[in-house]
Amino acid sequence: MPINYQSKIIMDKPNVQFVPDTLFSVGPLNFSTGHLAMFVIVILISVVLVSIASRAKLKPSRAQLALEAVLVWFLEKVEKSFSNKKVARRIFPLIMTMFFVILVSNLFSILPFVDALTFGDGVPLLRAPTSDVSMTLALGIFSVVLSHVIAFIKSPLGHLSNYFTIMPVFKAKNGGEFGQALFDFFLHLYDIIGEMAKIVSISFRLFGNIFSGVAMAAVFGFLAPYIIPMPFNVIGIFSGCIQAVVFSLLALQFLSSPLASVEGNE
Amino acid sequence: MDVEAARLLAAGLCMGIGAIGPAVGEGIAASKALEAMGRNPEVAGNIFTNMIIAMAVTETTGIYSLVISFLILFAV
Repeated sequence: MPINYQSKIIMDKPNVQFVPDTLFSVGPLNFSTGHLAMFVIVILISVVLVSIASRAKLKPSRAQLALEAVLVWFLEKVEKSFSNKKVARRIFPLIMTMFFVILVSNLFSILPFVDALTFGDGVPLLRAPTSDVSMTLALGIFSVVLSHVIAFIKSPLGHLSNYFTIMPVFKAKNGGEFGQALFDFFLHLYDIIGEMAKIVSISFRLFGNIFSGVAMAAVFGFLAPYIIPMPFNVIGIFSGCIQAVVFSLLALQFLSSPLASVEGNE
Repeated sequence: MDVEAARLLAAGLCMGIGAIGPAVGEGIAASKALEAMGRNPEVAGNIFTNMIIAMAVTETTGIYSLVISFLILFAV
């Protein structure tokens, strides 16, 4: 009798999807379940934060205390990484927005009502947006491009000369210096690739963490639906919080370092 | 070896080899942080926060290989 290699696990796989389901499309643009979840999250964050902020008092409530603790922790980090306090105050809301959006997106799947909402053949209506690579890639591209725009506005030539160090080539007095300058020029061109690698590393770090949580939940829900997935959910919540902090701190790092190098050139 | 077997082997090897680096790296991070905490217990909280962030960055390569092995298993 031939052995059946196609075991049950291979035959019917757990439902792990890389691309979220499409709700409807307008021309070439697909409106996916991740987009819908993003809308819900933005409304949720706005309502909660505005309601806490509008009731802010000198004698704070518990929610206000918690929020202020988070804000102060981040404010310290932001003010440390920028030399100019005014710039730090302008960047701070952006960092906090990133943090709250990513935090709530990461923890979105543990909200009680999320799994119950379905459409079609039991396809979940809401999907954690950060488990879709387009969302994290967009955030990564945004933060890296913004950092260069800020540095470029601050000092256009100073910023470009960090990547195209052509001037020492012309200033070289002898052959040795010329060779060194030419070598430096090509070495600094590699920094451009480094900037692109930043986008990939920051966005795939977030995507990988959250997607692995989703996939882990799907696999364990398939193999052993009760009790056993619990510790993995705890790890998922923990890593969701950590990744939100890590993403916003790295975005802060990306935003401040080109500006610092431009200021150092002056 | 048929394609299915090669796929499963590739996914397992990808995760197994990819997990070595982050494991060693996180171990180094933890040991250094514990050393620092033992030498200077007053700043233990600060060191712990920084250690967690450094670990999250360190495990990135492991996460990459996890994504790749999920891709091999479920998407290809």
